[in-house]
Amino acid sequence: MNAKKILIIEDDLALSKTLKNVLSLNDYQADIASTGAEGIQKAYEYCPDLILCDINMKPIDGYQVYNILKDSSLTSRIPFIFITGRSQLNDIRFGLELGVDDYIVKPFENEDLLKSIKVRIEKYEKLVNIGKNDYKTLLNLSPNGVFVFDGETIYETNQAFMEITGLNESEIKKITFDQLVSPKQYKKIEGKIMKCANGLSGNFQEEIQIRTASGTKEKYILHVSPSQKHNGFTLLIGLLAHAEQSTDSAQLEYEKLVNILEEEKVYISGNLAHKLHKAFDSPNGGMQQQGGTSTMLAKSVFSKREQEVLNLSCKGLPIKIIADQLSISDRTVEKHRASLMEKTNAKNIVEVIIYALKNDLVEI
Amino acid sequence: MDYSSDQNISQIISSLSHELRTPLTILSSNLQLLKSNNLNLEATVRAETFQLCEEALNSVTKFLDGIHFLNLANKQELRAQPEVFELDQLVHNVLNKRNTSFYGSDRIQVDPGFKQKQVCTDQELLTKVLIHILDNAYKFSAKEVFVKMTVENQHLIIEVEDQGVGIPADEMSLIFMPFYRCENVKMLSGTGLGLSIAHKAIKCLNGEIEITSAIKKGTKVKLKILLDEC
Repeated sequence: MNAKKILIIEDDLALSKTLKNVLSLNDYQADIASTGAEGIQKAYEYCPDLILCDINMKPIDGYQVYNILKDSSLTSRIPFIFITGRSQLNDIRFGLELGVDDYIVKPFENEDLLKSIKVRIEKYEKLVNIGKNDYKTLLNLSPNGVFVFDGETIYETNQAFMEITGLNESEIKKITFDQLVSPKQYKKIEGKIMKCANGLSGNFQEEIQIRTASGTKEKYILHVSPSQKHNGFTLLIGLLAHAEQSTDSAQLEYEKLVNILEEEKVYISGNLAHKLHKAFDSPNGGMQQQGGTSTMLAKSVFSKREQEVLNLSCKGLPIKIIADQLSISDRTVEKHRASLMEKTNAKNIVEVIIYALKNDLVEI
Repeated sequence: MDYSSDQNISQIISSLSHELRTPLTILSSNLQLLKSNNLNLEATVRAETFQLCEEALNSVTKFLDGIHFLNLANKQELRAQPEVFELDQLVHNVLNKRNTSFYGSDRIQVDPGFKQKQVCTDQELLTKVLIHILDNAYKFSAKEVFVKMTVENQHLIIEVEDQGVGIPADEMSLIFMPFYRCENVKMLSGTGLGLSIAHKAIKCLNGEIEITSAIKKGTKVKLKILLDEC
């Protein structure tokens, strides 16, 4: 397994060297940025699995770094931990309101730091996998051809796309999108695709003729929508639905797919093999999908009883009332709470609640 | 340091805690690293770990010395102890002081015109002043720093000229305040104590400090010290 990459943003070189040594000796790969600006740049280039960031830096401080990275879909889902000398409650509350994953107060125990990093990365991966599975299932079950492309080069497709075009994976790598249609047909959509790729327009759909596996030309409805940005260009998601099919169901499926793909972090590796990388529940994302993911997370981590205790605890109810409502003993409630703390790595029930709220595991 | 208001005190405390926290963190983290690995680290990593510890200790010590000095000066307990010495000795002391940013660098260029001149003043205080002034000149520029010393009319005049970032005009009146750091150098590390220490020390030596500066051109510091008669 590849070593997890951690980006250290810290203006004190001695401290960042120390952190780098601690992380390297615990099998992480660490990179150092010595200013906020450099940190932002490296977060894009280096695609870290986690960011450790000092707050007190000039001229760009840790809060600004955080806000800038949260604004970009490429970096917004990277777990973010602040390292700070400020131990005031107000500062910590401010950070948590911003959505920072954790605070480590200087000086810290190396073990606490490593534990926090481990928990954040694991949680992140769990969510990535849930998102990936949703996406893969939908993609593979779909009778419609789905492909990710930049207007020309096609990076990833599903099984149905290969069946429609009769091309295998390596053949698809060699061609560009315009070769799938006749020049006349391509002219009709070229402008629209370019507009989409340049971010000048949103999605569009158009009826076109595709060269199919059998060598004939068949009518398809092409849907195209912009997805993730990568190194300045926008990736597009395309979907080919048979023209005879009811457009409604294709449209519905397409929207669902776009929803999921918008949640995905996508990047292209050296051989242009395209990997769907990271997914997370985003506050801007489709509500339905978000709810689904969170509930799945809650289900995969907590027992049913624990969820009930968590829900009631979040309402601020004391142990006794919770026990009454669930018809269990006080002691059992305490046992469930202890288990919740252990699972969320929290020191007390308030931290459990903060965790639950931040991850949308409960509704209040 | 001005303890006259709650606000100042709170600012001083927050500076103190910030200045101490980082080296303490470095010490603590590196010691844990050594301990948890029973010192069995790769040679280069182990050497770096020890070095980081030493540097952290030095920076804490230096910082506490600075605070202590300012406190003495504030309580008017600083006394100059004049003695006769040669300027060669002073220059030697300053340039051979370890733990300064300019130690071992060839960027400090001292005009040899002062050779074999004897003066009478407090050598220790003057060394302190010169170290802090040179430290700044060296840290905030990438080119040569020129030092010139002359004795005339019972005065020792030292000029230190750098070709660095310069001091913003609107901040010139604030630079001797403890912990004050100019906006244009905040991304460089420092405690903001150097010039306040130099200022207090030069006062104690019956001297004056005059600073002229142009942004991105450089800063010239002129020290004028009334020599004692001994």
